[in-house]
Amino acid sequence: MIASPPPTRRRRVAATLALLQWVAGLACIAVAWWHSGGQGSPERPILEDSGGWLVGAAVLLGTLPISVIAAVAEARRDRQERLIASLEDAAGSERRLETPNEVGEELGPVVDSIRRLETAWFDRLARLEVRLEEQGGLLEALGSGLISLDRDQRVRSMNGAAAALLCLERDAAPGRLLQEIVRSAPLHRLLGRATTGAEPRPEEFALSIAGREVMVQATCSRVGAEGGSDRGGLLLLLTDVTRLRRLESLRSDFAANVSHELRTPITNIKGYVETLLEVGLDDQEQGRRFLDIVRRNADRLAAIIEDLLTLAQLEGPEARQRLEPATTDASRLVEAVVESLLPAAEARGITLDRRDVRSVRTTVNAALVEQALANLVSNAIKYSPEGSTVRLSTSSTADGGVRFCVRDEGPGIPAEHHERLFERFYRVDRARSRDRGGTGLGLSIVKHIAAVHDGRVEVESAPGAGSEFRLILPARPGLGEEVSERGRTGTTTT
Amino acid sequence: MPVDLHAELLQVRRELLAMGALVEERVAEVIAAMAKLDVAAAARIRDGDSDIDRMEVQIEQECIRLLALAQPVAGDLRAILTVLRVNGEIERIADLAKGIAKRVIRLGTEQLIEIPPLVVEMGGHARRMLSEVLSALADQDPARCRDLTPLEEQVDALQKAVVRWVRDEVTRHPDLASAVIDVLTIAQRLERLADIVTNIAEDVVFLVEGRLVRHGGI
Repeated sequence: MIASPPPTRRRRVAATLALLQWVAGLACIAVAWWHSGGQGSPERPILEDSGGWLVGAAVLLGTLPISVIAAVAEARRDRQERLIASLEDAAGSERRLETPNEVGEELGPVVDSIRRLETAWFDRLARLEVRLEEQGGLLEALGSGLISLDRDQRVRSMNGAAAALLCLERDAAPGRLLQEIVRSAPLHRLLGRATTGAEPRPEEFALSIAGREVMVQATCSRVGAEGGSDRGGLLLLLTDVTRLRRLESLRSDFAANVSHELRTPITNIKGYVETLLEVGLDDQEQGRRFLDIVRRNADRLAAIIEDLLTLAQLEGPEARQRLEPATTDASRLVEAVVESLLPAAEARGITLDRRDVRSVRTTVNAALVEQALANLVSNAIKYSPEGSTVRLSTSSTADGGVRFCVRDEGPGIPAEHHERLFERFYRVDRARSRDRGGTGLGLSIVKHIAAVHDGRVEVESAPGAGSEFRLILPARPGLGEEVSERGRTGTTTT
Repeated sequence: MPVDLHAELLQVRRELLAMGALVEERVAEVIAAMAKLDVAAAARIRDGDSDIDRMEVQIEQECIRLLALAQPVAGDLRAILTVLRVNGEIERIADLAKGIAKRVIRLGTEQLIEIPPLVVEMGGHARRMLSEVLSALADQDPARCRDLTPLEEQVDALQKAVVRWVRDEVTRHPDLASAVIDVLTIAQRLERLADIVTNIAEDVVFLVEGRLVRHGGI
């Protein structure tokens, strides 16, 4: 392409040429006039010697159209150039085209076509932007972490879930190697396999992130076309399955626990019944003792099954709808529980101290709350030394709810058990608690009763210092605070 | 064929970090196996050393090729030199882990003594040091290496305590001498591991600041 001289210089050259033409024409006329002596004379009239005049006039007339044509062409070229300049300007700035004031007849249709093309492109761009925004929204809404890597395995971008999973500042990651931000041999192997174009296959492994172990399911696939350094790369999908795996292990633990807990009394019953069948009923004293053991084990079996059914009902999705809360007085609930458990307490010489039981209005399912309180109080009675005192109290909470406290003078519970205390069949001391006739489900039921009321249970206990269990319920189910883990020493909220 | 120095440097760096992660995992496993005298886990570590050796050789070859073909200078040269050095150090850590695994297998099979808590604590410190230095390498942040000094001092102090324990134990139970010496060897390997970690920390300082800090404070 030959570079054309700048328009101003070209215009100057054209103007100079036109001027020269005119000067030449005028010079011809002047010479002719001078030759004729300035005026016509009788012997040499001007007309006779009009050669110079004619030449001058011819030059003037002849060059006039050329000058006119040159000027028109120049103006056209000028408009063309201004149009090109504004097109370049628009291309560089992503702004819409600003056409010069006049484009002339011949460029008018071109400009119109360009405008139509531009409108079409801008529409397309707007649609693409909407799509992009939509897809960005989708990726953000994805619960799994998604990381896009370039060919060198440098992070191109990631969604919020990925940043949260990897405990990263989202803006700090792009441009860094994935190996720099996550140190995990299985993950690096997965990336290595994906770069070879292997079929993506989900893998599960533990990632150690900021000092905690996270189980992730990771899939890595190669994306984009070959060639072009900024296209293509890897797409890494990370799903946090820690909770899922924990739930699965809880479930299988639960199944194992249930069968174990049910099998123990059944084995006992079978054993004693078989012995009775073998030795006969001649020894009445022994027979009575054996049957008593059989009855106790059958009671235990019945208690476990009943507790399991209660739990199943409390856990069901419709437990909240069936709650049917009614307004009642917290002190009356405590009285009802005390009435039923007084014989058990008296048998062990334990005083149930109710001095701090205040009257608090509350809207709950009375039967369920009574059951929860009964579980807490009977635990306190079971684990307290003979002749000690179990203190019961009620008070209202800052947000209008009610707090029931059951405090015993028992051996206390070491802090490491607090968190798991409310799990089904969890026992601090396996041998001892079964001796005392617990099903291992009592506190779990309390936790679930609190949960259906949107309340919570807390425990504060230390070895040698007794235990205090607190059942905290909102003024009305549905008003409860979010269940929060509180970091207070010796206190666990569930 | 022209060498794309930048892309290839990225590649060796990636491989080095991946190897670091793998060795860190091995060290964590061997220390867990040691605390429980888990023979099966230790045997897995003893037998799984070949992939690390292969990675080491590959990284070294690539570095030498880059040095020869691309003739890097300044920062790039430092980067390659660091990769070369750290590569060797990490491989030695893997060897130490393998050595510990062998002793753990023997101790676990004999079941004569348990690993004393002193050595388990040493293991925990060594593991943390390795993890810190690999983070420093990944982030190219020498400031992270400064936390290593107190840990290394603790490892040294624990090593001395282990030596005292060994001396007492051998006089008290001469019949257990061989097992006690195995424990001592494990402690020595852990101490060596901590030493190598500080070498890597020095390499990180060299990489970022261009200063050689061998045999001195970081």
